[in-house]
Amino acid sequence: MSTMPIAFKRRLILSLAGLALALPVHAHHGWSSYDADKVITMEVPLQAVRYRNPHAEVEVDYEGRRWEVVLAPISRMQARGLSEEMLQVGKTVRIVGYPKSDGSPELRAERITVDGKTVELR
Amino acid sequence: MTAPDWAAALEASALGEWMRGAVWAYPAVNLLHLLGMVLLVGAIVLLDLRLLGVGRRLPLPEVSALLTPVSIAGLLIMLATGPLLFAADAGPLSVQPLLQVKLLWIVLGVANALLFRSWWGRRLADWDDRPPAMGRVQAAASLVIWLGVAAMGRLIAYA
Repeated sequence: MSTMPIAFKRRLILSLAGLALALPVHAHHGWSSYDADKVITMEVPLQAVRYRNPHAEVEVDYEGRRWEVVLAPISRMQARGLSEEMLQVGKTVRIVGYPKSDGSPELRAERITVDGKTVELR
Repeated sequence: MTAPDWAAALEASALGEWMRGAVWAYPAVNLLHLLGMVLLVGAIVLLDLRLLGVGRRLPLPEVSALLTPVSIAGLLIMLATGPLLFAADAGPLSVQPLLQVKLLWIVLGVANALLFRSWWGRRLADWDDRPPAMGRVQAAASLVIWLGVAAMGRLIAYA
């Protein structure tokens, strides 16, 4: 075929790959993700528990706001001994984690202490 | 934006419940979805590159005969597993713009592939001598579309 010189072909392939990677993203909490410089430790009662995949979430009230706390996949929590029965609404737990960089009340939990037992979640 | 009733019903269904609650359901289905993506995108990218003139020592009809079924198998696996992943979080996902764009691109990609087959499917043997401009545009579009679909699929987790 054709006539496309190799250098041009190479450029074509590279720019196509570049296009695919440069797609715009409409993130709903912001693409920004979590701020690892800002460690938050909260000792609070659980207001809601969703022990589920792809990761469990709990809700807590902290400094006047309702926070959504992202834990880990079910299989990891079970492997590390954090069962569904241990996470009961009303139980006070200690959570250490990083907040969303955009300031929304969402925390990525690094570890959680329940009934005196600390479980790493990453 | 609130989720439509059908999405809320799907999320609350036994299927949605199972996808969230069973320890291995979500990871296993996710793994299959990735397998489908590897087969689909891997095969289609190689075929598109061949159509654009890469690897011309390999006869195009044979390359196409090998890679087309692989990409179709990958697409079918993705179509079977995607709705299961969707069911776990149907409410929020039903109003997720990135997923909507991705679904639109899948429709475009499939339509592009079907049109390509019907226009050029019988002309692959002499493709290298007289490659139709439109066919090559379609091959390039296919590359962009399927890599874009794969990227959007992954990025939904961060959106």
